[in-house]
This record gives sequence, structure tokens and C-alpha cells, in this order.
Amino acid sequence: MSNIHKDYIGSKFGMWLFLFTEILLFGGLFILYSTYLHKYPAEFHLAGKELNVYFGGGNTVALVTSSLFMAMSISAIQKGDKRLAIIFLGITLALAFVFLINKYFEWGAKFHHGIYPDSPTLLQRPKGEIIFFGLYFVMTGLHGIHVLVGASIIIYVLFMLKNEKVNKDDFVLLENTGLYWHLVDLIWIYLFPLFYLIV
Amino acid sequence: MPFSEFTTTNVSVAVIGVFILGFSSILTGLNFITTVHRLKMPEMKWTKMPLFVWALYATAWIQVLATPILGITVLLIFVERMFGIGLFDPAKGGDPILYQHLFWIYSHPAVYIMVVPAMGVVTEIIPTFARKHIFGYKAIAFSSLAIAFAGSLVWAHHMYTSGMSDTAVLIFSFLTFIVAIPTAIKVFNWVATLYKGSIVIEPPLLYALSFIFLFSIGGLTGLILGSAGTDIHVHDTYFVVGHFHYTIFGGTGFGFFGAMHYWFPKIYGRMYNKKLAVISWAILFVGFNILYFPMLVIGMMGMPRRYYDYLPQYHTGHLISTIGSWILATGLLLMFYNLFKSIKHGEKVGKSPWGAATLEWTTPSPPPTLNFVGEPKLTRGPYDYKGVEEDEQYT
Ligand SMILES: [Cu+2]
Repeated sequence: MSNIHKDYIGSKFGMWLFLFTEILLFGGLFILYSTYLHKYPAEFHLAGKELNVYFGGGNTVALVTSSLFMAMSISAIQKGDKRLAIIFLGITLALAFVFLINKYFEWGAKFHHGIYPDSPTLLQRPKGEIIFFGLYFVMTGLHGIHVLVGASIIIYVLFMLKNEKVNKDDFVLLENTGLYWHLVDLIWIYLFPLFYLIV
Repeated sequence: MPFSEFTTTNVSVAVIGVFILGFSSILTGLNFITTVHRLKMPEMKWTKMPLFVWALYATAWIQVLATPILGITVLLIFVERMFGIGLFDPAKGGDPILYQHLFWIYSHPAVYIMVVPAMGVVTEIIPTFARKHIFGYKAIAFSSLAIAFAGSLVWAHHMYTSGMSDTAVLIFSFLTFIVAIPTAIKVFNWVATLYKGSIVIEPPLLYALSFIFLFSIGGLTGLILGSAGTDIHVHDTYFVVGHFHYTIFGGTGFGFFGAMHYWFPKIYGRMYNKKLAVISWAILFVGFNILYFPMLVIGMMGMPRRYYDYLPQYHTGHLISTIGSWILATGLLLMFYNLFKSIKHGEKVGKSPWGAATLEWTTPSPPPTLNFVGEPKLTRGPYDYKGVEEDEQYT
């Protein structure tokens, strides 16, 4: 018997389970969001109007496009085109940084107006608005951390592609990274309307 | 707002620790689920798996589905302590009851993470020492999944006095009673397996039998706490403390000790001193009841939990309880002494000291690297004892 055991399906199976746990992690925050939206509909509406749809919309475009390039990178390595896989994954990474830089300016603008957790300006607002901005910072902040983690993993996989540890015959690492990246994208696709559009 | 958010003790470091532990819990569950799906030998169908594996499988699902909620809860404690966002602070529009919900959504299933594997252990031990096929294989396998599922829907029975709505109290009380059904299915099946078996009394069986006894007390006192009316009377009293220890120590603890005595010869290829094992079990069992039963009584009388001091009428109960704790500690010390000593000095055993039918008893003790010498063959069901090869000294 040998103890070398590579199970392609098993490794994706495990990744999908992990993605469930990520959805549940954010699920706790979505429960808070829905409860407080129910409690403070008018305040959520007013506070939501203060968010800049162009920042949010731009970030949505950046993330969705990055997901496309991630998928194309996987197709490229499946066809054995290492150079193209690296280029596409590089573009994915660049778009992740576009997202984070955009977020930096968006949060920066809010801080500039004195709106940040526990700030004197914010505490003078109605309670529903304090909660709205609280959820906004916590949820987009936790998502931002996920983007950062995803970007670090992408950098690691870029090196693995370069060393041909990830190659035409063994690319499950890239595929699982892709799954994670799509999840980060998916969560943003829910956060964007919840904060910028529907309230 | 929750005390953990403003206490000056260093909760922040502790919750980071909990968060990291959460990762280990999730990854363990994820690993076990994937392993059960992908690494079973081809002949091992789902209904041929040992029921211990079924129990671990159900537990793994609870770990994967419940732990992330704990993750977000402790993360929020950390963020609230750092930035004062106010999501649970009424002064800033937050609702502390939501914090309690998040906390218990994980923390009730957590007790099933602890006790379901112990139930799996008992399910292995009972048929082995009754020399009889397990009664109700499918019912036991299914009840593990049913406990995992139903147990995820009862969390708010910890919150009857929190001020949540009466409708919610009613629903959660009803659901709590539902969980008692799969638990009782297991107990009845264990007892039915023993019925008319050729029972051999060995230390693992003693632990399994005490599990049934103690966990039944824990489970039934749980129903007193699960009914909204009686809970108001005993909420936050020693009755809860007694109930909890009967389930988690009497259940998980005794299941764990049973597992140690059952698989010890497989792990080390040596047997512990059985006579000493029985003596320490007896001391442990007696000490346990002297320690925890008085808690149920003084709890009923109104002794509140979480106080170091008490009124004179609770003195006798506390005194008996304290004496019980010394007896219990003696039993524990003896048990661990016996096991640790036997790792090096126990009598050598062969492959199958108990004559059990599951696969692990067909490989040498201790098992070689990669567990088996060559590919193992599945020649019998996990509880088919006919023609099982058993070590000589025990036949
Ligand atoms: Cu509970």
C-alpha cells in the first residue's frame, strides 16, 4: 500500500464545505442586518442614500470582471497554456487591488465627514443610522479582509504556476482558489444591493 | 450590552483564541465528512459502516454548520471592544438579545458535538460485550443525523427568561422536546441489544452502562429545563449545573473513558490491569453521583448558580457534594494511573482481545503504519460475531 493519495474530487468537496462555512460566517451578519432593517426601515433608507453608488458600482464591476479572469486562467491551465494562465491570474490580482484602493477612498471619504464607528458625529445621529453605518463598516470590512486574503492566496498560486507545481495535470489548487474567489465575489454581490440600492 | 464587551478583563485575547480554535473545529469536521464520503473501501456501503463512524459523521456536520456562527459572534465581541460599534448596545440602537441568539445558535449544538461521538462509542461497546448484533442499526444511524438536525433548532431554550416573545418560547420548547425522541431511540436500542445477549462484564461495558444511566438522568432533567413553565422556576440554579454535568460529564466523560478502555489494547498492544480498572470505575461512578445529585436537589430548593457563598439551608447539599468531589477525584487518579502505567507495563495482547467484529480488530495491535498489513478485506458486517477470531487468553 502506498500513502500517496491524491483525490481531486475529495479536495474540491472539502473546498465546497469550507465555502459553506464562509456563507454561514457572513450569515450571522445577514441575520443582524435583516433584524435591524425590520426595526429601522426609515433610518436605513436615509443613511443608505449617503453611500456613493458609483464607488459601490465600480467595485462590483471590478470584482465580477476579476472573477471572469480567474475562470479564464483556469481554462488556460487546463489547456496547458502556462503563460496565459499567469497573465489572467495577474489581471485578477490587479482587479483585487483596484477594489481595495477604491474601498480605501470610499471609507476615507466617510471618515473625512466624521462618520466612523463610535465617532461623535455618528453618535448624534438617530439610532437606526448608527446601526446602519455600524453594519456597513463591519460587513464591508470583513469582506475587504476576505479580498485581502484572496489576493494573498492568488500571489502564492502565481508562484506555484511559475514553478509548474500547478500545471496542466494538477491544477486543483488554482481551481479551489477560483472557488474561493468566486465566493468573495458572490458575497459582495449581496452586500452591494443591501447597502447601496434597496434601502 | 453583553458583559464580555465592556469587562476590563482581557476578553479580546481570549476570543481570538476561540476564533482560532473554531478553525480547528471546522477543519476537523470538513476532513471527517470528506473522508467518510471519499475514503471508504469500495465494499463498505453506508449501511456497513460501524455506527461510531455514523456518529462522527453526524458530529462533523454539526461542527461545519454551527461553528461559523460562533466565529462571527466572537469576532463581533472583538470588533465591539476595539471600535465600539454598538450592534448589541441599546444606547446605540443595538439589541443584546440578538447577541444571545448568536451565542446559543452555536452553543447548543456544541453540546451535541461533545455527546454524539460518545453515543457512537457506546453503540460499539454494547454489542461487542453482549455478543449480539446491534438492535436497530438503521434507527441508530438515522437518529445521529436526526439529533444533529433537530439539535440545531432548539437554541433559544436557554433564553426563556431573556424577554423574547412567548410565541418563540413556545416554539423552542416544542422543538426541544422533539430532540428527546432520537435520543430515546438510541437508549431503547442499546437496551434491546443487551436483552438476551451473552453479556461479558469488562471495564468498557461498565462505562457504557453508566453512560446510559447517567445520560438518561441528564436527558430527563433536560426536559424539565426545556419546558418553559418549570424552567422559570429552576433557571440559573444549581439544577442547571447538575443537569449539565450529568449530560456532559456523565455522557461525554464516561463515553470518553469507555472509549479509552475499549481501544487501549488496540492502540498500545497491551492490556491495563482490569481489576484496578473496575475498582476505579466503581469509585468514579459513586463519587460522580454523590457530587452531582445533591446539585439537582439544592437547585430545586433555589440555590442560584455562580455564587461562591450560600444560605444555611443549602449547607448539607454543598457538603455532600464536596465530599463526592474528593471520591470522584480519587477514581479519576486511579483510572489514569492504571492506563498510563499499562502503556509500558501492561500484559501483551493480540489482534482482538474483545472479540469485536469491526475491521480495526483484524490488524495487529498496535497497528502498523498505514493501519493495515496489505489491503484489508471486508468479510463481515460490523456486528456479525459468528466466527470472529479472538485472542486466546479470553476465549
Ligand atoms: Cu441547549
